[in-house]
Amino acid sequence: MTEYAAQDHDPLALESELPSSPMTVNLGPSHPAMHGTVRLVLTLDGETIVEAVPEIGFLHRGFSKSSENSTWTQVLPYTDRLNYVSPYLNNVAYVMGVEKLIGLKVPERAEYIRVLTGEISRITDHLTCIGAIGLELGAFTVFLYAIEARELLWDRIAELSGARVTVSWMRVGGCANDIPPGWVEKLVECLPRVLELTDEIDVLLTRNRIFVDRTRGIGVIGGDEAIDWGFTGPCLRACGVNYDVRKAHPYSVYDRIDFEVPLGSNGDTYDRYVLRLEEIRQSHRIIQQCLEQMPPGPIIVDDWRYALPPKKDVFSSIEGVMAHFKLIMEGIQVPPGEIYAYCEGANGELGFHIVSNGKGKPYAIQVRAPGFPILSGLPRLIKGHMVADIIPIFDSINMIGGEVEQ
Amino acid sequence: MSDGGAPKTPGTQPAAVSTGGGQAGAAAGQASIAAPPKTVRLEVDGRPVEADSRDNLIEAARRIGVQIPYFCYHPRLSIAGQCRMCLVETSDAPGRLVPGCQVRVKEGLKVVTTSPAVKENQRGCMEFHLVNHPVDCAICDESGECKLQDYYMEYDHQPTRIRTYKLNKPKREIFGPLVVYDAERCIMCTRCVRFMDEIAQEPQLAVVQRATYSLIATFPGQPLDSKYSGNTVDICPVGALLNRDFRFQSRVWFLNKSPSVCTGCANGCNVYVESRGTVAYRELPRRNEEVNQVWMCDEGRLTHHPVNDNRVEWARQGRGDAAESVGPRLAVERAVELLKPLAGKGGIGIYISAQSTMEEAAAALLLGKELGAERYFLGGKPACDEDEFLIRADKNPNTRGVKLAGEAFGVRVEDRPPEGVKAMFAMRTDGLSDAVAQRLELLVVASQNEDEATRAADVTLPCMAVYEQDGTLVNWYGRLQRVWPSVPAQRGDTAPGWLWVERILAGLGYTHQVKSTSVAFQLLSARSADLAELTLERIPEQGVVLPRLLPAEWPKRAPRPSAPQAPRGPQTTPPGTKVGDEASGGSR
Amino acid sequence: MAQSLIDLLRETHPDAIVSTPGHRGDEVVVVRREQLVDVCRFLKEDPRTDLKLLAQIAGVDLLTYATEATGGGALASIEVPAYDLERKRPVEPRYQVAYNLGSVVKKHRLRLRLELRSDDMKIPTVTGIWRTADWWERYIYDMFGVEFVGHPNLTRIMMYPEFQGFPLRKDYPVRKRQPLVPELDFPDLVRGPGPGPGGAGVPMSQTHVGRANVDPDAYD
Ligand code: SF4
Ligand code: SF4
Ligand code: FES
Repeated sequence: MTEYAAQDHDPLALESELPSSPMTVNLGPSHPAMHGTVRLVLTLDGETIVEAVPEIGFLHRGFSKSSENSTWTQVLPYTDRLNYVSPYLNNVAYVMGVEKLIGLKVPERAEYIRVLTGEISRITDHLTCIGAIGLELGAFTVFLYAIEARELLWDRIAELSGARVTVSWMRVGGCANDIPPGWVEKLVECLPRVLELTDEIDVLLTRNRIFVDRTRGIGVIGGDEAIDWGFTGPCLRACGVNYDVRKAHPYSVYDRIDFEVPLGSNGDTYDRYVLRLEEIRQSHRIIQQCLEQMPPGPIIVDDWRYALPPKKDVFSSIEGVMAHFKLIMEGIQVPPGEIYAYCEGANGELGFHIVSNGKGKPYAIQVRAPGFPILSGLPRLIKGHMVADIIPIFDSINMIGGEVEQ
Repeated sequence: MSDGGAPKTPGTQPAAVSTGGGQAGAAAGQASIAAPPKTVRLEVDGRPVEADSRDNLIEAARRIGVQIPYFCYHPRLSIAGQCRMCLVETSDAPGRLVPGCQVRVKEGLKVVTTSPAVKENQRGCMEFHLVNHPVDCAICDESGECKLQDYYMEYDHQPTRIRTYKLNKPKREIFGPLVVYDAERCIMCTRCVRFMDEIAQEPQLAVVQRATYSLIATFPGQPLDSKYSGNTVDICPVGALLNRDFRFQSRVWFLNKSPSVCTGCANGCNVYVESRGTVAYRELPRRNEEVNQVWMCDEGRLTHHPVNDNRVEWARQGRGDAAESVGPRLAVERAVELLKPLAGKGGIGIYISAQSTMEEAAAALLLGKELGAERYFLGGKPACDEDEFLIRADKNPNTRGVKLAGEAFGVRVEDRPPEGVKAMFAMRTDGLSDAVAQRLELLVVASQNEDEATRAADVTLPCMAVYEQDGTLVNWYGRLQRVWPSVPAQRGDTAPGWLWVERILAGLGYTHQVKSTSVAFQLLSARSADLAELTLERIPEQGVVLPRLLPAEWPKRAPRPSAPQAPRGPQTTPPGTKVGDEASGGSR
Repeated sequence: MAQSLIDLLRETHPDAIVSTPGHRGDEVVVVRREQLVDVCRFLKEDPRTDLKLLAQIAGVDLLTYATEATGGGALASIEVPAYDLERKRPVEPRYQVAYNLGSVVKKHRLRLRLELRSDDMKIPTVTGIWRTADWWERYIYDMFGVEFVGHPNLTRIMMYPEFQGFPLRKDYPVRKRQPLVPELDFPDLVRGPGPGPGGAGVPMSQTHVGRANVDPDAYD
């Protein structure tokens, strides 16, 4: 009793921290805030993170092995499932790789459709990310707004491909179908609502005191270091590094489209969030330009070595049935070679390293998922922060378990 | 992998051997060259080729991996020049196209296979071949191994320009017991006609009608009943001739192709067994110059039926209606219980069917030794007709092998129905009659199929088919050939015969540890001078000849081992060919 | 642009280059393993090259590159018959490891490639040059069994530690089943607490649930 009273007189003693021994805590793999199934083994000193070891592989589906045993076209559904919030971008990155191996030129309309759907996917991906940050920091409204906007777009995607997330809609040499009549009008109708919801989120979060306190200066990384860790996409641009594959190595028709690459300056969670918000608006610009510029015409190459013949020919001519049969059963005969094809995915550079031995199946294929190097840098981002900061940081890198763990 | 990393494919190096016509046993129609073959240097698409002087342009180009498409040419048949698919340009006839199948190599000749004229001819040729072709791929058994499909994708790949009706022709002409013909799909390459004339030497097919109405037909009252008719199905480049046994049974791309040796007769033709899951679907000949060239007989094509049908699947004990499936362990225990009191007491016989592999025979002999068996009997299917080419009278694949194994173990294997024993163990029951089985007091069998003997047996152990297991067989002239587990499936309790013996031996208290086929083979190689130094793994794919066993007399046309020399064709599959193509050694 | 990179490399590291098999606009340099670290450091730090981004490390097993049968679609290859594996012919150098590099400033790309013999699958690590190499090298190790000498923590990344074999090697059958992993008998903070010595629970491997590791010779 007397000891207690003695301490009472020294205010500094009360403020000083008690020495604590490091504690190991498991976060995940099945924690609601750990998107996908990632496990973090944290070593804590009190609330402070001393060390973090991410462990992945819980969601490993053997993407490469499965793909090596499927025809070139059968790989497409596997690519959807790499990043299920922006599947079109994955489709495009993969078919671009195959087309590069073949040396195939895709019809212009198909290129515009690819850009268009790709940017819709980018918006849905970013909305998911922003919604999740909001949700997990307690702003449930934001989540609802983001999901409403996302659903509007996913409905459009479903009208196009028949599926909300597992679209498998691109084909080597073009895309599976043309845009159905009336679809563009519906898209144009829903886009303002998407923007409006984005603005609402902006108003709700960007200057929200709680949100800013929890994100600004949290998870900071410098530009050089970020490159060293292999960061690309919004996470790299948030550090002020101007690197966007769409601008650096313009593919498809991006060189004909006018858009800006927003940049951050601090490389913290807040910048990553704001950057995504701005990218949504830029994507919206791209979509509008696509709709204006899109020419009529074929949506897939007219070469039966690569594209399935029209059903009319399949059912009524031997040429059509043979081409159809060979493409389905033996696959497109892609000339031998090795390439690395990449495009700007929603979270960074999305690449496929593909080797063909001239047969109907990919001989070797490995994906460069943007999230993989970013997740490897997660310990660097969270070290020294509080346990509670893990969640916003983790949200802001938008790790997608499907692609990271393949 | 453009040029840096790709390993050199076998086909890109000039091979030291000929792939062309003019080989021993080649078609009679090909002009025979008296002078010995020599090397000829020419140029194909600007690349130098060293060819055999007997080569035609197709074979010369194949040496460096350049593919000249063809339908009617076949390395073992005479040249017909029917299809015009093989036209190329040469320096001898500038501005004109010459058939690559008919033109022989010539010193310094320059061959062009990629010029616009050649390409246009190939495309046009395909278009003409398809003018009257039915839209049948979906119901055509040839789909997936059809030359029309392959070449269409490679040389044509254009939509049709024909706006008229297609010509209708007979769709299902039953040519003979094994072959059915679809005239609409036929491209009139006449390979089948030439095969029957030149190889089977039973001219049973002919071309009738003219021009676009022409079709292949048999003679009135004379069906295509040659024992080699199945080969016409193989060499038909399209789905015009089909195997009636295989028709509509499976799509070919689902099948697993695996090398094996035919169990139909003592010739031991090398085959591919094609299977899916537990079911074997067909046999196709595999090239072995010294056994079957690239052919096989019709009977051999049906040898997968005993693998699929009427199998003993579960180990059981008890005779006839009293039999019950008890699982492998109890069945073996029962066999041990029955055999143990008799061991060393005499009266035991061992029956070895010549359908067994060498390893199974060795294991059975080992069991006999340990039990102190008095007599050993050779069983098997009864002899039947034979001919001068491939078909042997002995319908068992391993008669020589069982005899050899008997010699190795120093026992006399009697080639007669079993008698004079009270108890018997039978390694496969082919030829074991009901009468014999009923006379025995005790009968333990390892059997593949249900038959009279399994009904009478006290213990029945299900045995794997030869196509399902590792092992070796010795053909009629003493060639030791390897078989592989071609049909991957396991049914019920089935196990290789040698494994059943090993289990029984273990139950009897002997420790031989025959745990693998290699060890079972060593039982023999350790005892026999003929097999000394051989191990299962060291037997080449083409088999080895055991010189001591070579017979003195040979049927007139039977392929026979030659002095060791370079084989005729590329051993590995050249790029762009399928396993079993005539180019890679099969007959297709 | 990238061609000048190769020329530059030829000047500065003449003996490091084996060949430059570019394809479809991708510039590729096959380098000798001994000089890999030198070349990498140079490529990253020299302002003329500035390849600061290591985008990916990918691997290729060439075992069946030339022999894989034509066609067959998806189904034919699923069951690899035993004889097929047995008869696979050795290919050397069997493995390739590709480093896809990029510069975010100069916007050019380069691929380094190493060729490895299957009897000597060691590569010096480049984790000291690019931080991101850490996980990529673990990935290649995990999938192909390539050893990165000097890597700080060369453990499996996608597969679990008890996994047997290397899944992206071409002789690893697609349908291969892995043996069940017995529950660890000691409390392990990394793999999760097991029953512990003297603990109440019986290891799962000894219950009916985990009865997979039965004697392979037993026949029933
Ligand atoms: S023969 Fe060939 S092209 Fe004709 S129907 Fe049959 S598979 Fe198709
Ligand atoms: S049936 Fe077949 S082999 Fe005979 S001519 Fe017609 S296509 Fe040729
Ligand atoms: S192959 Fe020469 S004409 Fe048919």
